[in-house]
Amino acid sequence: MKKLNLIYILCIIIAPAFFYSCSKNSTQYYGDDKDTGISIFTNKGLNTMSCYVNSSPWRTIERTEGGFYYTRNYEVYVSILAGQNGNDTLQISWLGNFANILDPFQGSYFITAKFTVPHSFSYPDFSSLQGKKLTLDGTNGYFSAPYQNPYTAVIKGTGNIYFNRAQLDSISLGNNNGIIAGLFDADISGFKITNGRFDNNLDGINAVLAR
Amino acid sequence: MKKLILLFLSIILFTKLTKAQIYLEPIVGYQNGLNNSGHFSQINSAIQFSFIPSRKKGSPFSLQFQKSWPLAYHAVDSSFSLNPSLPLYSPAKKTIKASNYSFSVSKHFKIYGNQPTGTFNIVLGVGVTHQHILVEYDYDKSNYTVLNPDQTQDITNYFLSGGVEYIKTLKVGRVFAQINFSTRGGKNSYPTSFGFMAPITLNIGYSILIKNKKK
Repeated sequence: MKKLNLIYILCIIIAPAFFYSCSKNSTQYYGDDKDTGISIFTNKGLNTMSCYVNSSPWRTIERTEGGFYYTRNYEVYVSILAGQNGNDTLQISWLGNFANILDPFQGSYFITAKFTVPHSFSYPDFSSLQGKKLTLDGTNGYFSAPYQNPYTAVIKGTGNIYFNRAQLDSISLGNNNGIIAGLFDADISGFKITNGRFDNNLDGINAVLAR
Repeated sequence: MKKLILLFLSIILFTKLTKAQIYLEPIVGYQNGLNNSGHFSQINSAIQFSFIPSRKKGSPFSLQFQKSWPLAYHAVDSSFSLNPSLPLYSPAKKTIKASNYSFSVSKHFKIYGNQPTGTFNIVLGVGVTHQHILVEYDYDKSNYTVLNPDQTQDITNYFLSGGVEYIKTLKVGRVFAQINFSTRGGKNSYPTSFGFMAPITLNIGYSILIKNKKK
């Protein structure tokens, strides 16, 4: 009887550790030899964005899934906000922090690119961004950072963005599949962003073009 | 360097003590990494000690130190710029030089022939290799960023080799030719466009008798 109780106690202690350890990290980070402190520029869905913010390396959090309470943490979100005068706003937000801060969830914030798009903008139109180099000059779009709420535009700036890959397919309700990869830089009132490169997979949770 | 000298001295000491017939064999050759579409080529230079046992039924074995010198491979990767006044795309010239050191021990098994006409042997070996694959880019680094860039890679690992050799005894010494296949040096931890080499090697050498068999 005592042995059985000991086994039960051991199971209760070990089980949480087992569940906690079952987490998956979908981010692959490879440092750039030339631009130290940030990742290389890739288009393989490595789930990372990095840049220099005022010459300091800045990186997105790692994309993880699982753990004891089963959580999902994404480093990028793509959404569309309904606007006025027949125009909506396509929004790409990356969540991260400076690379020398060990715990990425302490004070993580968003760097966001916002594009003015027609009200009819949908999934095939997203894919038409592929291969395009755009200048966001404040009228056709803008950058904002650092800010902890991507849905409130407070600090606006201008910049350039290039989509080497842009694809988002809607397979069924809540089941999307896609990727974005490219380069960007921005000048946002006190924040100068340089050497930005992103490479992110999109799915039905972090990329939904629904108003 | 000190370890190599120590190893050499150990071999010289071993040659003094053993009863086997010993040849010192300088080797030159060429090798190509089959697993990289033949892009990585090298010129080989090696020193080999071959030991022919005094017993009739013993098969020879050899110790080989090889240094492989790279032949440059040139390619082009894509680079992109955000500068609105520059073209979006520019080619980034890439040069890759794959070199390596290796130390191996091999056993030679006669399959056909007799001296002085010549013998064919199967050669099976095991060794350690250090591969250094140097990657250099030439492009406008201040305005452009390379997509999926390769980076210099290094690895030290074990390898297995197998092949065939032909040996012909001359009036003085002997000549031989070998063709060998080796296993890959290891796996990349970085997403390069290439893998570590699994070379096919073509070597020729000349055997200098340095110690006759003890009777």
